[in-house]
Amino acid sequence: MDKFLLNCTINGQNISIKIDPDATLNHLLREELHMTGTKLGCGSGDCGACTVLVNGISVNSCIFPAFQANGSDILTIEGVENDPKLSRVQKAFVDYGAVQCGFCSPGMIMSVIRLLERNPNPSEEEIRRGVSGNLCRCTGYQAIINAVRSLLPFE
Amino acid sequence: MSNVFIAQTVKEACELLASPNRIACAGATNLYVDRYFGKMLEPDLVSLHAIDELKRIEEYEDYWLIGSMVTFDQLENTLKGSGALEALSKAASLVGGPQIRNRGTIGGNIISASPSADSLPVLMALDAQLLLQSSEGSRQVAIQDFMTGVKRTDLKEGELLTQIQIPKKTGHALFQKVGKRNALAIAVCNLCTYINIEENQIKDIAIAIGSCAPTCVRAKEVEKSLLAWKKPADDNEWKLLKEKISEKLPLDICPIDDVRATASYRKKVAANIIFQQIKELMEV
Repeated sequence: MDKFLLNCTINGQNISIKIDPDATLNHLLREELHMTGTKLGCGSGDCGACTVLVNGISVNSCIFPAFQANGSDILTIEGVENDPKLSRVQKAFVDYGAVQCGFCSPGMIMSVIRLLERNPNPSEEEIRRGVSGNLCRCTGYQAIINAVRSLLPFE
Repeated sequence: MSNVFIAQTVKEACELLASPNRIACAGATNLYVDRYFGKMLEPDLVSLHAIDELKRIEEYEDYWLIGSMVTFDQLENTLKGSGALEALSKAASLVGGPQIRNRGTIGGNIISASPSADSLPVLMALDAQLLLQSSEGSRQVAIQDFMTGVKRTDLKEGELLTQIQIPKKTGHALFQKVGKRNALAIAVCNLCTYINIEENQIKDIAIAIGSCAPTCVRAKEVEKSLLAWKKPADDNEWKLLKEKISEKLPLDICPIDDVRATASYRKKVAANIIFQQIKELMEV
């Protein structure tokens, strides 16, 4: 089995690394690059805790073949805190108590960033649909919805 | 551990797939779940993610052409207001969650051949045709003939599903899915009804049901019995229509008890959905 040479951008940084051809993007981030902000929850695309953006699109990194990320631009939660516009989402989560145990938060925040990028003024229903691929066992979701609503232009 | 090959064109993918022990990899939303649970680890992968010609939805005078790498997100957003095919937009909108819809493809949904695949009822009800290509040539097959069992299709060694052709129809279609929750749930029953009504009478009808047999199936007996049915004039006539559906449906489906629902629930819910869809379509 040959190693696969992966070239991509992660949070604005160029990365060139040899990976196992069957590695997942989650494995690359957490185990190879030690970027543990992105979580591994169910490992099978159900819970969304591992959500990252690949070329702006939200994906479950646990079932994303790392080699398919070759040439792409990846954004993880580590890249969010250094971006003043994106970190507003994190601040809103803190302000509105949308974080309890915190395990779903990195993935949840990536889904919210994608949602607001695509639809800057979503209705409550659209917010709920936007985070429907992310499970949270603590908050009951309402605090998360409130946090997102606080970011909308006319709230 | 297996190797990966990245195809840039359909031709290259077919050549790569001609060697043994290789399978096509699309969005990997099924494949990498299988791998997480220790299955499908052996075959080498021929990845289709770089083949742009498979990511297009094209509209022609008589039909739509959908590339096998088109995602559910693309289907949902591109096929709004597309006549009967709007049902496929609806079905795509109910798959998994946003992350799965961003990655999962219509080709993967067909080839994975789950009895509960959400695109299949619409494709079956609208008589979709599949284009299969290989290094040897190509063939076209009706989706009804392609699905052969649970996770089984008529895909031959070395073949690649490249396009789905869906004829344009004059009538309307509806899709509905019943699951345990709205997002991230596998269907307990999913169903598409297509109807064309002329002079207050059913001229053409197609009903396809998922999760109620080893494959998604057409409800041929129900279809036959409702052909030429006149639009009911009162509650009593609607009741007769409903009774006819419940009478014929058991001949078309053979649901089982499983972790998601019982067989008798599935029969009941399928009959109810067919009735509701027909009512809604007749009242347009």
